[in-house]
Amino acid sequence: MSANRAMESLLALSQQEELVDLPKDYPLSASEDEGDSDGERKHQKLLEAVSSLGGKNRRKLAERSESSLKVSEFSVSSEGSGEKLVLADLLEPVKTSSSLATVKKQLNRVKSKKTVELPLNKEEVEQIHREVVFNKTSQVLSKWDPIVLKNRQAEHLVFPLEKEQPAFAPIEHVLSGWKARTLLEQEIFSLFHKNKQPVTDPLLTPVEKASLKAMSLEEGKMRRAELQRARALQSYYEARARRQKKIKSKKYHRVMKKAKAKQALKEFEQLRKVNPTTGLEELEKTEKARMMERMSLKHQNSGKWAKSKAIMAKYDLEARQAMQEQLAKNKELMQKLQVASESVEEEGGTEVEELVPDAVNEAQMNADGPNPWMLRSCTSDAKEAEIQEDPEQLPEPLAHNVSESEGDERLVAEEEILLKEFEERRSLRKRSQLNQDAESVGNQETKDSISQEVLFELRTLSQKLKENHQSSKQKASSVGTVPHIQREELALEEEDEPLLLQRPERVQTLEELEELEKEECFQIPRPMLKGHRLKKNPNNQTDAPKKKKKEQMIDLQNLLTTKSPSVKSLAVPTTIEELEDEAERDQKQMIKEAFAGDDVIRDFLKEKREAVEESKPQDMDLTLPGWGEWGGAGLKPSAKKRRRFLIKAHESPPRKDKNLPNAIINEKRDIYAAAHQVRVLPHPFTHHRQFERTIQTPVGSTWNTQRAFQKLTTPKIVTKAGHIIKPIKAEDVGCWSSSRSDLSVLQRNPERLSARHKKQPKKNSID
Amino acid sequence: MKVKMLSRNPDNYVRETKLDLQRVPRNYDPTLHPFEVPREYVRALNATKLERVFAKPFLASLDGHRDGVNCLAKHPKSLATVLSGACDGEQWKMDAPAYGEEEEPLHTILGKTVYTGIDHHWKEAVFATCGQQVDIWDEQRTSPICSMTWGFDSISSVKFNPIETFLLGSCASDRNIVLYDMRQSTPLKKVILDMRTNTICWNPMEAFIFTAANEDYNLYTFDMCALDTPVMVHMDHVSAVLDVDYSPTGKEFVSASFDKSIRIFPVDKSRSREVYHTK
Repeated sequence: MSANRAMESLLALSQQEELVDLPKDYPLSASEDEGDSDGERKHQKLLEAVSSLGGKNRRKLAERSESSLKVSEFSVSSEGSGEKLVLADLLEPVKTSSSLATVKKQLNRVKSKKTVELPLNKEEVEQIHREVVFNKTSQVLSKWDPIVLKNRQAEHLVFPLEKEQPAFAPIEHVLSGWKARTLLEQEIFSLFHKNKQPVTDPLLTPVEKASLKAMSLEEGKMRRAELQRARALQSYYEARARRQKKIKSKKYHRVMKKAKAKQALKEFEQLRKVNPTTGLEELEKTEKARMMERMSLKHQNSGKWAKSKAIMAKYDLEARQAMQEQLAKNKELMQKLQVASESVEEEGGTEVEELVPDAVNEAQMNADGPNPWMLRSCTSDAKEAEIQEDPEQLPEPLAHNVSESEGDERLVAEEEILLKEFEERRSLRKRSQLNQDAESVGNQETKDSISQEVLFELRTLSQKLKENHQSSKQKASSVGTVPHIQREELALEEEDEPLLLQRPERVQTLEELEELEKEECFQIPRPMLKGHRLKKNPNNQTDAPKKKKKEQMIDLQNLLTTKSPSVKSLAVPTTIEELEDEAERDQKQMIKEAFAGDDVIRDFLKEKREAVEESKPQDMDLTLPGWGEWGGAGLKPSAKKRRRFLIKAHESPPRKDKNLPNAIINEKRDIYAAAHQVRVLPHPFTHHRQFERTIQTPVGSTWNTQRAFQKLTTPKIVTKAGHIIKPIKAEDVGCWSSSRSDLSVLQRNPERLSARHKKQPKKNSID
Repeated sequence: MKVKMLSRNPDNYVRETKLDLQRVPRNYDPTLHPFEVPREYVRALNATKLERVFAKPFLASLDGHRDGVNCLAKHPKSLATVLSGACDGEQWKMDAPAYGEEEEPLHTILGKTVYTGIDHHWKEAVFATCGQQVDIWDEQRTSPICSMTWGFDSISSVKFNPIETFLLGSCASDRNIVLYDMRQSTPLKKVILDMRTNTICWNPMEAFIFTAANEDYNLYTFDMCALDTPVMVHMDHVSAVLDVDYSPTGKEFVSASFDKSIRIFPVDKSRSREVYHTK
């Protein structure tokens, strides 16, 4: 339709242009003074005339085949055809001709435009607007809910609600109309003036002002927080130091010292790289320390301990060894420090140290080790490791191209590990027996897990399990297994976390185990280590199935103990159910026997029937025997008369329990009972005892102390005389929260309302 | 020979200052004070009776008008001032105990329609009138800032919400109560009751609660966010309720009725607490 209109308008436009081109002498004004219908016809004629005017340069019109009443070049109508006119149909002939390009373009433009929807009528718009605004307003109002609720539930309210500020005038106002008169006052004021204390307007001294300017409140707060934090840290540090100082273990202190030395060395190395001059100074310092050590008689066999050992050395092998050790140390210390050799040499040294067993190492190091500190620590470490026989302490698998710094770092790490071990041991000692047991298991577990093969096995196992799991997810039994294994492992690891800390890499999940496995490819397998392990725990070498069994056993236990509702229902079922059934049957039997005689249901039905009969309105019989006929003993009023004076009762409204076979609803309120019933109950009423207590406790001052009496009789609302109570203000109340729910529950309880007010007008709200 | 002295701590019986109450030692043993409930009952009864006897609800009458007093308003910032308007066109300002003086208008506005009610904004210099529509006026201008309407019947009264001051409530003679938002200049909600509402009054402590004085002898307290059912229906009047006003505490309100009585209702009770009537 719109397309049609557009077409028309377009055509009309082109027609106008043609009209403009018309010669002046053509009778144009002919149609002006005639009627409308006549005018239209004339207009048509005119148009035809115009079209015929063009002559040669006008294209000949194609014949039209439409069955329309009006056929015109300028307007298209689909009147006759009875079909709707579609723009596409009109465009088809145009496409072929090239001269109508502009029209085509315009038409296309018309086609592309979409019709704008009709605007809503005014009422609808207003309604929508109203709804939106109402929602907003109710949101605004909802912020009052908590306050209103609070005020409603408050035991006592004192109005006016807003706390009145004590009306103190600022000192400036007080001082403005005041003069120092007495001597004392004058003196005081002079003092004020001398000290540049402000007397009148700004109450701050210049110093105070400056301080205010210097630091804003927030800045100050931040600074304060910082200081606090620093203090706290310091105190922690002090406490820690104190604690550490208390530790009596000599070994611990030795290790600590070593660690410090290591740290110093490391720093020195760094310094040497970064800043050679300061590095040199450092070196001098260490040199000096070494010299001091040399000068001291610490490792000569002159100490108390050494003397005692010397006595014992004859008989005791260990004592002899210890003495020899000390002597070795002494020698080592007495050796003069050589200037730091080249890095290549060092690297070689370290490599050798790391590749070759400890005993060889020691000798070599003693010979040309550049660094006595490092040396000592290395050897002692190794020794300690041997003494402890901890597989964890063994040196790491090494890549061949380890740089010197890396080596250092590892050494430091070892130190740290030692320290940790100490800490842990101390804690272990404190722990209870139970825990220790658990840990021993955990320890075993960790030992197991560290050996790569076992890891590998574990991994494969888990993979298998996973596959199983994926294949049969429906099976209840298999569902538990994999997660359980994981959980188990996690739990174990959590248990012995301190132990695990000793290990260089912590294995936390199966994924990590897998990663470890990948790493394994790059590492050189070490037969020695393997052998060691073999010796140590041959059980571990026993292969996968056993391990798996173990895991699975744990799993099963878990399943049984922790969460197995389904299993329970499957496993326990028959016997227990039977038992229950029996019990129930017994119970039923008992009850049946006990109440064999009475038929409760029939009784109830009878009762109900009676109630129904009773509630039925009775016919009124107004016949008077003997009135208008013979009366006396044995004579009954005639049936006609009875019929005449019988007033039939109206049909009563249907009973409410008509459709409730199991209930009797008594609609008669017993006024005699109502007289004795309680009308008002204490508000949050939960138990009848509550009410009884309120009835029994006296309120008067005769039975209560004064304070209790006052408390009991405080009025709910207190208003102050002479104060205007202003409407509540948001500023007075302060806090907002937007939850309307609680109040709405409390307040709009339609049942309560309707129950209380049966006589309610019909209302309907419109938005 | 040892003599036992009877001694008492003076703290137990001596007052700290002269202004303190005398200390009366008292034994609260319940066996010494039997019949608590009956005694208390008698006391309470006596107290109630005496309260009735000595109650003086009528404080004073304020004279001066020569015609019926048609409207009355409290002064928002002065406790002792009451403003009243009479049918003879006089406006009086009264100081409660004494007689009042006549006030001269500062400013006169002539409108096109009849104004049947007026209320002033609680904070700003804006007031609202009602008649054919609700108009919001600035005090300094002679034409309304905006006018709002919903329906065609004449509106009998308009009231500003004292807390959320942009809200207005009005009641029209086509039995409905309409709420407006002044900021958006649009009506919000409409409640249609069985009979005409004469006035409404907003609770000064609970922003969304208002009470409507209805012709069907009842008062209805509504929550404006849930207008489907009234929060409470207050019954006791035996004729059309003409006016209602809240106490500043928002816990009670007073209503005036065509049955020549004034009743005081607690907000959460459906029955009146007190009734005052003339002959």
